[in-house]
Amino acid sequence: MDCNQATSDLLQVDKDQLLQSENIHHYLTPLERTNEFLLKLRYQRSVRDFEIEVKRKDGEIRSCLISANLQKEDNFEGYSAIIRDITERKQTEQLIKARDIADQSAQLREQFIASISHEMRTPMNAILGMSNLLDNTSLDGEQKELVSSIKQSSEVLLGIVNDILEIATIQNGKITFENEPFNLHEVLYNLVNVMQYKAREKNLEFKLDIEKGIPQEILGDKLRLNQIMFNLVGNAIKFTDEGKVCIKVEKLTDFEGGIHLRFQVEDTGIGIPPEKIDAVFESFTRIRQKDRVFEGTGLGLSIAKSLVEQQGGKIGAQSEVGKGSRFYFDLIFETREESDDKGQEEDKTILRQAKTHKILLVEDHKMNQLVAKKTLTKKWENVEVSIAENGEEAIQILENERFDLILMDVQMPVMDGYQATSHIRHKMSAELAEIPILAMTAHAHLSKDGNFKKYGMDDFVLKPFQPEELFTKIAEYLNK
Amino acid sequence: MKQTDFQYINLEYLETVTDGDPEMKKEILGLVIDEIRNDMPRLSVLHASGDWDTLHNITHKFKSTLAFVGNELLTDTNREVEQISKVREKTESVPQLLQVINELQPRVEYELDLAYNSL
Repeated sequence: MDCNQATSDLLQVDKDQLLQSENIHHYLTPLERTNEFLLKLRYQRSVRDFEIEVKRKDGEIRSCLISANLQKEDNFEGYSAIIRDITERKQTEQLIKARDIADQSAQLREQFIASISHEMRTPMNAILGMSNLLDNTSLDGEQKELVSSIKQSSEVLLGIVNDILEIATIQNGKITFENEPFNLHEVLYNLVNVMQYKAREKNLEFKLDIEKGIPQEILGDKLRLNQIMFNLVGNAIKFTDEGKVCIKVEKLTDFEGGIHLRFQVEDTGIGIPPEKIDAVFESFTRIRQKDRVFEGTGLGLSIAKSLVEQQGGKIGAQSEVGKGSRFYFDLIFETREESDDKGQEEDKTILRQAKTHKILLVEDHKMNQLVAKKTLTKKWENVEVSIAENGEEAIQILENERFDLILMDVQMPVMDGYQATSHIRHKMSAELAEIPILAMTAHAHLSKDGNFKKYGMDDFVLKPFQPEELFTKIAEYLNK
Repeated sequence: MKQTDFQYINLEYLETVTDGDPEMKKEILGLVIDEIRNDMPRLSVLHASGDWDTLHNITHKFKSTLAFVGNELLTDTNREVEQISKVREKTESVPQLLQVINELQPRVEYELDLAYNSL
């Protein structure tokens, strides 16, 4: 028997000692494999890359490939063989296999979650839709409360299902981002309009501050930006019981064709302990406070993080327990030259202040009351419309309640719009006398030569009104 | 129903104001139908009794209502009656104008009902 140094190194046995050993086969393991190898060699005379294990002197098992040729000469029967240590290769293969199995099972799990969530959404929407229909039928007080509970619970459940579906989509790598022009200011004002109800329920101050010079129109994914902002603002309101929630948008840098923006949501809420601040962006992380549990899946910030990072941005948070938190994210958006941009034209129907605007509609015609009220509250969620049937009733209401604007019909019983306006302008307190009054009339003569001004009205809208004209004029005065 | 299904009404303004919201459309149409059904027949009675003030008030209110009906002839005729009843000049043409209104009313009402029921 003879062997090279490599064989001696592989077996970790001194070469001389190895050459003296009577049977080298006891280094091979397991015994059944060794026998199989020897049998194959005897009958096939040659074996290629036979996988076998080698047991070293220190007991370590190495994976090897052995190739051998049978040698028969006169009285000699033996074989020559090459043995190769493939332990590292085997380990790598096993790791790859394990990773593939893990990937497959993760993918299957995510697909399963996505399918289930998707299937759940349809019946959830049906429950919500039917509850809304049921709510519009004639119900007694208790029934109304029960339907309201169904609706609230369905909305919470639908939110959870949507979050799970969203995170599954992100993890599946199926998310794509748009790069379309949109009005950034409009998106932010709409967000404030929608979220201010939740802030108002908790008596929180709610502010939006957009740094001067940030363009109205940018290119990017409006829906995703909305989604991130809704998550951050929703959390800020959820975890703040008193004080304020402020949204701030500022420019980090701008360059030719683009702008780098920072969006911040700051609150005076419960805050996050330092040891948990890094974990808040992980899935299913929920902040708990003593005996209080906040609703949610703990997926919102994880979704926001993925949406920011997949767009090349970064997200972060700073917080102090009991004082509040500040969440921010930075994103780059493309911008367009203002000169060749029609979309840059400002939407004149946007209400800029994040507050409830109260409008007094003075109108005796039931149909006009309904049309104006529905049209305005449908257009703006943060507009409240109260109705006075005539000028006299309007004056009584104004004595007890503050309004931001009055829509005044002219021809009415008891006290017409001219008399009512004159009374407001000349006989009421200075504060009330300054409320903007828009005539809403079918009297065309009022529009001629600024006639409306003679009667103390600020402006007019002719009936039947065109919604855009009405919205623009109202927004003009409410934004002043 | 499509606009082409109607000869006497045009619901474009209703569509604009409601932004296509079927619930709001139905609510407004319901009020329009009630007003036309209840107040339009009163015009001839008021004219016959010489109550020009009320005639003016109702035709004035109809200016908003008829925008939702979208019948130009009915809108123009109503406007003429409104003007005459306000200034009370050329009152001799009122019976003829009211006849136009009275002839159009059932046709308009029928189509409004169809539109309402299709919502």
